[in-house]
Amino acid sequence: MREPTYFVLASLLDGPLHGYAIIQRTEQLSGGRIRLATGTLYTALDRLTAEGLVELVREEIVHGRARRSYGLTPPGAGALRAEAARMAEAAQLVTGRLVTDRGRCPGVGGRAGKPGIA
Amino acid sequence: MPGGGRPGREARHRVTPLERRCRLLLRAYPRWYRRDRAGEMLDTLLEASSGRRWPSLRDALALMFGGLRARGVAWYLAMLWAGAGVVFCGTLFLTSTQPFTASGVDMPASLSGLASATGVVTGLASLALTIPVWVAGRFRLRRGRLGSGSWTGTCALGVALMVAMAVCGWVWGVDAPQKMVCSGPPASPDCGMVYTAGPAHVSWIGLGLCAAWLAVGLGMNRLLATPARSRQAADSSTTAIP
Repeated sequence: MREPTYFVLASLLDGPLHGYAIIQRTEQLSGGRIRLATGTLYTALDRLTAEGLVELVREEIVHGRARRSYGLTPPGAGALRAEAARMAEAAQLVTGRLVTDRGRCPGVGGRAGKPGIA
Repeated sequence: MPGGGRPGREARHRVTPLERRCRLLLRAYPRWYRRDRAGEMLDTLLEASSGRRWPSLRDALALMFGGLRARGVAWYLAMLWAGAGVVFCGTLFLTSTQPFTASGVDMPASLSGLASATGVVTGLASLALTIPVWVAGRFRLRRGRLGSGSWTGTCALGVALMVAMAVCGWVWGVDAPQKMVCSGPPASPDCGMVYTAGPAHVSWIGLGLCAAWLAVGLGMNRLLATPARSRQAADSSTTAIP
């Protein structure tokens, strides 16, 4: 799962949102790193809807235009949780090792000999 | 049924210049897509551009890219194909029409070099794209009710135009009368082809081929103006996948 997709799904955790609210929430959650353009957002929503991870929840008329809100489906919430667990596991691999290696000088660094051989 | 607001209601609310520009950008998407989505996308785009006079460049680029994606690879290839044909015949038209090529005066070398380079590039492009265009179109239209046969027909028309282009461009040397003129001794490098047509010669062949390619492009655009099969299936079946 790519990062923008992850944050789009995460933005829907607190309930359904409409297009611009998703853009804002995504930017907020990612600390300003991910600023979705309108076109990018709808391409992602098309794909996520087709995959069944997101669904159209309600449609209302605001300023004479349709405003649609999207929400997470149960498979969408599942995929998001699985991705979060995978990333936590991957992060643990590094953060855990950094902590245990601190103090041991050559430690895992025995591998550092490898480039010398090559 | 789709929320495409009635014209009366649209007319009542004042359209700002920003909204006009946003609507223009949304035209990057095909009509079938806009019918369903234009309203909410306009809403989002307007909110994202609030306080601005123009939508941001990022938004504009993303919309154009999104529009290309929605139209599909087949549309993209077909437009490149027809576009190359139009440009090729346009060059043919310009290089053999007075007053673009003044009577009795040869074209400046740089201009004629540019024209022949454009001709070669676009000619090769249309040649190389023929099969991919046909395959991509067939693939996209494969379960459509109409279009598969018309698609092959349109491709065949394009191929016929390419043959005509080759004949006109390379065999006849376009339809402008030319003669060899030498400023130095005969057969020296100073010799060049000079157009000898009257002051108002128009290359009708170039113009006709150009128009024919335009027609091929419009026809292909029309044939592909339906959602791709997978999307169509997803839209028409309201029963959700378990």
